[in-house]
Amino acid sequence: MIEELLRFFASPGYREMTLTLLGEHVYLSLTPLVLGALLALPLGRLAQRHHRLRGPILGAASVVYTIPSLALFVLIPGVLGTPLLSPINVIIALALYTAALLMRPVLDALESVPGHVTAAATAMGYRPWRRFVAVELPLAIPVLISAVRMASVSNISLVSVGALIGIGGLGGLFTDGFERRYMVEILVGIVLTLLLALVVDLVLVGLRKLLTPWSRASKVVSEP
Amino acid sequence: MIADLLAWLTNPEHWRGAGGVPAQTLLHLYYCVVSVGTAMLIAVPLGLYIGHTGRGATAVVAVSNAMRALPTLGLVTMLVLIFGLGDTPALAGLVILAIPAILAGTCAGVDSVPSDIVDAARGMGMTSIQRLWRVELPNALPLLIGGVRSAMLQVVATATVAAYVNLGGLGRILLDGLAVGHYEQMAAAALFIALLAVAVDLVLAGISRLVVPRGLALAAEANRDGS
Amino acid sequence: MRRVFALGLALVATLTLTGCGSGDPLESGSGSQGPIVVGSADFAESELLMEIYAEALRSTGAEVRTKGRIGAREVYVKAVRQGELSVIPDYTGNLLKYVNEKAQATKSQPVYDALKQSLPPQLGVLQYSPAEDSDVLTVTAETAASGLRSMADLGPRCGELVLGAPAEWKVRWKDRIAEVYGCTFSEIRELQAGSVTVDALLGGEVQVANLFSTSAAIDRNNLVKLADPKNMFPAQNVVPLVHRGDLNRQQTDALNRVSQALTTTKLAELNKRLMVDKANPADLAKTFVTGVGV
Repeated sequence: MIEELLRFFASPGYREMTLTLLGEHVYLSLTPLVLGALLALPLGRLAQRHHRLRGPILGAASVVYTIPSLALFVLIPGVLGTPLLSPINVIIALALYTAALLMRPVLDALESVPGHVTAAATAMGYRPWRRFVAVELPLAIPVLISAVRMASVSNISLVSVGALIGIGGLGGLFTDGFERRYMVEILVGIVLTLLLALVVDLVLVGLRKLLTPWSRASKVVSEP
Repeated sequence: MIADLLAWLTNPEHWRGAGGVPAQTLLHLYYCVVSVGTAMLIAVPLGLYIGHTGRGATAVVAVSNAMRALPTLGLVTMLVLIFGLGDTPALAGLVILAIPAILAGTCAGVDSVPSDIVDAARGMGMTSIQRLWRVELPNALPLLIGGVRSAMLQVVATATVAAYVNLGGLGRILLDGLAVGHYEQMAAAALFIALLAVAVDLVLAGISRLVVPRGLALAAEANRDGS
Repeated sequence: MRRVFALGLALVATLTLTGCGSGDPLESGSGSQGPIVVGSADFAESELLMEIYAEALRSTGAEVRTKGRIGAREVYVKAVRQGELSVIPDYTGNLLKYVNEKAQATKSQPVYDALKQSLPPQLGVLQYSPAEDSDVLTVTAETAASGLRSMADLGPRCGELVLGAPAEWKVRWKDRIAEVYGCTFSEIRELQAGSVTVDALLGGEVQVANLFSTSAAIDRNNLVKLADPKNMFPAQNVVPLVHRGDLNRQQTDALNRVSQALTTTKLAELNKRLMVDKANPADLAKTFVTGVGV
């Protein structure tokens, strides 16, 4: 096995192919992570402020999350008119999953900000939107990042399904390896996917530490 | 586009025989029920044991988290290359993917039972088995079924992907549509896959409501209102 | 943060407003500016040919991007027509059948001539290669021994035989084989081309399998190719399908050179390196193109 792996990586063609696919995988999984988070924040805020919208927003999120990825990849071009073979479908689908996954934690996080804190901020003259950015959002960061961690793992694993419609990052190693019965190629794809998930997870943990210096100083905000 | 889709949907050819929508939907459902059922047979007893004794709980969490990162297409193609073509290796892949969620749900469920309830049961003279069966399991049900629900979602989706390694089901219709460049066929299949997933999830949500002990549901409601 | 909020809302709005997209999403994109995009169909040999074309084009100094495993002909021909791809390897006979269902030619040159006449204006084919890779029905040695050696023997026995073939086979050949050889298979099982089909044949899941004549699996597993005395399957010379106007003279010449150098034997050998020795297609292409000396 080791010998076969060495042979795989000794080939410039396989090395270049693997690197290209890895780069594609990172792009296809992390872009939607950012887009999904940007989508979930305002929607979460909306659900928090307007109780009537809460049911529909959470309901829509749970339906989106239920739809299998291959089906969503295929339905998006039909609904949006994007080309079937375009990476944009995978990106939109994964952004929707991310947003759906983040919706509940975002809402919970925003609601968990103690009333006296918001009251204090208001008393200090913070306008609502500024209070949201400067007070509520930072306090919600730990919860938010732990949800983003879940979504990143899920995105990174889902991208490869896109290989079935020609856009799948490391998933390309699975379809190619399967056709040629080349186990090593599939194994490389699986291991790199797991490693990528791990690395991104570590980065997110680091990001949380960076963004919430107060949690190290004192345990004011307890983690969920 | 919409017209093509309607034409596909209203063509009786697509509703008949082994390759038709009803047959493939049933097949898809069959794969899902068999693999989630098998996974439950393995994961629920194991989860109860781990939750009850507290042994290996950390490992379960770690493994089930790592498993979420496992690319399903990679797992399924790998298994088929190792064990050969056929339904069994593909279904084995589905079982493997279903286990972590159910295991984690069961463990978390048993773990979530408040210790004072367990203590009370012990005080009433219940044996270890009685406590597990009559106190911990019923109280663990909401989270356990939650685990089964997410396992089922995973399996419905992966069974679709497994059409690539020749499993039947709705994924078959979708990939065959891709092979001949008929988008309307792919879209129709995707639509049915989405509907199937939502329907299965709703059924499990219904089952959850039926089997969760009434007292527990009431307590949860009271809690929610209280907070 | 207000901007973020607005962006999010805009995204939601876009998602809702564009709710009813029109047109077939398989038709796509605008013409390619910049790098030459070379594509491939969804199987290994096509990917290998794509790498060979890409390498030949690179040797002229062109900037080249590859886009492998796009799908079946029904998908990629549209992509070439739209200019989303500039070049893709194809096979003359099947391509002709695709652009002109009624075409009758079966030999290499007539097929090529008919193809040139039948292509829509946006599409062109360069010189065809002597290398051929045609559809071929295969059976196990055991089945062949029972008196099944030619497609002409199929007729009366088809009713008890299951054929394994790619999904597009049914569309292309089901009626034709009934007409030419009086054969209606009891079932046509849709299988991925390549190893999946071979496995199904060896495992007895299907009794007849549609493979490709350069496939390394045929010799390795002692499979028997059924003769095609009535030339139902037309000649399948490898040929670059191009989007007209995307390649200059020098680039066209480079592709013609590699096409000329590629023979059926060479292609079968490359296929063996690819499928059995698991060599990388890009590596194989580099060696091959260097050997040709474009």
